[in-house]
Amino acid sequence: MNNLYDLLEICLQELENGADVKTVLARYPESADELRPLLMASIAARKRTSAQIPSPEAIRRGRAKLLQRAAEIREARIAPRKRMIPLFQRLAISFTLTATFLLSGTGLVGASSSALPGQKLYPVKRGWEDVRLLLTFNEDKRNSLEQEIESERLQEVDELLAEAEHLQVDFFGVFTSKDGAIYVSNVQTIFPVGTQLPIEGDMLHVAGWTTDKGYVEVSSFEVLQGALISSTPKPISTPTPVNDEETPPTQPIYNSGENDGQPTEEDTNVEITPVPTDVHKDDGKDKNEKDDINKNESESESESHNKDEVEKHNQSNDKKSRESLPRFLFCGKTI
Amino acid sequence: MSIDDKHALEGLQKLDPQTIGAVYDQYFSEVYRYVLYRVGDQTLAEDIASDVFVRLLESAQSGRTPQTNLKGWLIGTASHVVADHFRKKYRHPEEEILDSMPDLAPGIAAEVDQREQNNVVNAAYAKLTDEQQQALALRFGQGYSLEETAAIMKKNVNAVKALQFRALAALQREIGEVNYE
Repeated sequence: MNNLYDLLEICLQELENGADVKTVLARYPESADELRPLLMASIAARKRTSAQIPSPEAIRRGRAKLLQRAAEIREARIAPRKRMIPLFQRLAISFTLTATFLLSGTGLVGASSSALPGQKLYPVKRGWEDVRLLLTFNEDKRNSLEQEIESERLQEVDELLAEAEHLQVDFFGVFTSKDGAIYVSNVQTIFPVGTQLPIEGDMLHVAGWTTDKGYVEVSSFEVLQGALISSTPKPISTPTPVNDEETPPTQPIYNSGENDGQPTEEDTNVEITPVPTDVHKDDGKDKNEKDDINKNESESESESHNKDEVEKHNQSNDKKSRESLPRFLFCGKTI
Repeated sequence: MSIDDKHALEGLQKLDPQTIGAVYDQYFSEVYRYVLYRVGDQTLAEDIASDVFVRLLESAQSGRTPQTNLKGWLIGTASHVVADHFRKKYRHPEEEILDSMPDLAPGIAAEVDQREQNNVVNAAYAKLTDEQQQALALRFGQGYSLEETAAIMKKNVNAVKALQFRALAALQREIGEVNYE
């Protein structure tokens, strides 16, 4: 029997080198009857799959997932998470919020689980997430809950993009670029031209607007580096207070990542074509003007002015301000 | 382990994004192809293949570095993940594999025949044991040598020869008399 195993292997190698079954079997006539069905089966097994390659999209998704995991591990290593709220206050807030949710009816929380930004139940969903975080004292469980919530934010952005909604969003993710396009985790994004782009693998906190073109226009972002996390994402341009869902903030020129975030002469001419290429082509002229204004303002005015405006914007009583301020996310810091 | 693999592992332990990206780019397609051969579903193959790399990263962090070479470790881990998937699937059956099996070798002529043959082979393959499936995937899906297959399966070469013999015999029994020449 051992000989037959060896014979089979020899025949398989000959087939692999281009010989056909008849020729191979002719060399071993005494075992041909036994070998023939096995060689036929080997051809079937080889034909079962031709050279299958994964789609570029699958490769990119897997890459982003891996780099996201690396960023999470790195972040957990560098910055042991600290609770910003003392234990007693946490308990008091937890009790109050839990009572509120229970009194409002248990179905409310369940019904809100699939709510998206802009929907009436969305604040309930975010509030319930905060309650769960407040009630989770175990560090590991808290970390995994935070990750779950971050994934939920990404999922929401995906859904808003699929529905071509134009809404303000914020989320966490890993910065990657591939073939000239920029992604934060799985979300395709465009950054204003002239922005110093993060480096591959950076964990970002991004605020921006979903568009009907399948990507998010980033209005501000922050690179999260463990203990260096600041309380507010760094504004890229002066944001316009949001009074109307249909009105986007002042639009900066967007950077696809092809110039690596370095400002070029073309920046001032607004001829840089972002990726995707048809971004804001309808209001290109307005955008020129706005951009010039933005540039002049950002050069002439102090940074604190920007911060003041961001703060004013965040503190506005607009119900959407709840969505623009992710709380208790990431490193246990209030952002 | 090659010097490149050692260098890659050091980078993975340090969470160097460039090394992580380079390891992924080098091996993802190979791992994906193996998993696709085993599970026959492109979406599932993508998920499992990317999970394997996350496991590699986590394994490198906890000091459980691959004992053999990186490729061997990745394919071996992919095999475990596939086996876990099938265990769960048998406990909670959802859908037939054949329904989601893509036309893996689309031809212009005789496409229907080809599809039918694929279905027969896929059904036959699904009935093999885990080890037999693994041996066929490595030998005929990946095109690995007997020695490479033996290293990944942690068996000696003679054992793999016997295994591939039995796997092909079982496959042929299930397929029946079909001429694939």
